Amino acid sequence: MNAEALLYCDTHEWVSVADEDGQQVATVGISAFAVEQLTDLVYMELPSVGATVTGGEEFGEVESVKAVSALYSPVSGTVLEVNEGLPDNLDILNSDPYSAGWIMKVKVEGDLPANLLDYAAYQRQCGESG
Amino acid sequence: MDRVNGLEIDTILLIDDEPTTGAWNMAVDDALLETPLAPRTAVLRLYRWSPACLSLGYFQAVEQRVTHTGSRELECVRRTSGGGAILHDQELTYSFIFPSDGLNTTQINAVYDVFHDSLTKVLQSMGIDASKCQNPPVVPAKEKPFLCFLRRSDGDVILDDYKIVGSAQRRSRQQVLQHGSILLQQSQWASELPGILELSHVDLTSLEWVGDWLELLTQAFDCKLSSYSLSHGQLKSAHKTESNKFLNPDWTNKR
Repeated sequence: MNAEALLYCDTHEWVSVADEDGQQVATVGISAFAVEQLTDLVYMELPSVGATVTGGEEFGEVESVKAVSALYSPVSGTVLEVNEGLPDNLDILNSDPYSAGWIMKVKVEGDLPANLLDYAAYQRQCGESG
Repeated sequence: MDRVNGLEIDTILLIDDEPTTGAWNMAVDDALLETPLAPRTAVLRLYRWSPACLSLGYFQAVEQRVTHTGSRELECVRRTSGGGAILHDQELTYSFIFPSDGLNTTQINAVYDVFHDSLTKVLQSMGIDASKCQNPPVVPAKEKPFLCFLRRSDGDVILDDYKIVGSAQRRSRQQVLQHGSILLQQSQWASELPGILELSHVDLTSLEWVGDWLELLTQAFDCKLSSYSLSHGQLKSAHKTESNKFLNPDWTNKR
């Protein structure tokens, strides 16, 4: 995926929404900035397929530098698929956070939250907190 | 010690608790993390454990307990913070809950340094040759020892190559809970881990040194200390969390 074409949460998750057979399907991951900041990811917990996620609410967790942090869903909907191999190969997040490092795919319900950031706005946020 | 850039605290609310069970200790910390802090305020809680208790890091598998026979008979609780298992017996534990809104990960990680720098300094002032671990070997997650005090991370406080202070965090959206353990003395349940008493022959178990440490901490944060007790609402929340979460086998055995 092209990072510049994605939308972002202020909590560093990215989302790409595509129309698949008339359904809005969101692919979700975490940004290269987040991966760099977290430095040493050692564990990740994914949601279950079929689980309901809510925009702005937790959907998974990661551990880095002995710190456990939540992952927040950019969209509301039902989890269609998760990247099952990712927790055992978190290095992918360093090398390819926007494609091979995807975390989950969600069948979107309702509109996208209005507070998602485009690439330029997200880069500004990273610059301010970096 | 440098202040944490961006973390502006005027007051640290200090809770000095009596020794109690693992489940209650974790429930109180959970209640504190879930309570929105007043602006420019943090909470520091000092506590001990009775009876002795093993705590698992949040992501650790409970099956790994079989690798540590010394603690087999002890109560076990799963923390919300990361890292390895800790045998809580002859130690002083701290929890520090601070606002993280607007802080980046580097700034949040710097809070580890504030605590470990101040502890190193106060130990050195008592003639104990403590120092901070630097650039330890990288160990893959699956090969890390079960016990936190057998692991090494940048910034851990060490003495004669033994870890004597380690910390871990749980980050929520607006606040962070940082846990830390200061190993005062070897426990009968973990004979492989000498404490400060065995390594330096300095007995810190009376905790008379804590006042000096707190002075260094308040200097580092450029703030004042104020005594604090949990509110009725926080106690109610802690009681609920103790029974629903930390005493619940579904939580303890979740991995």
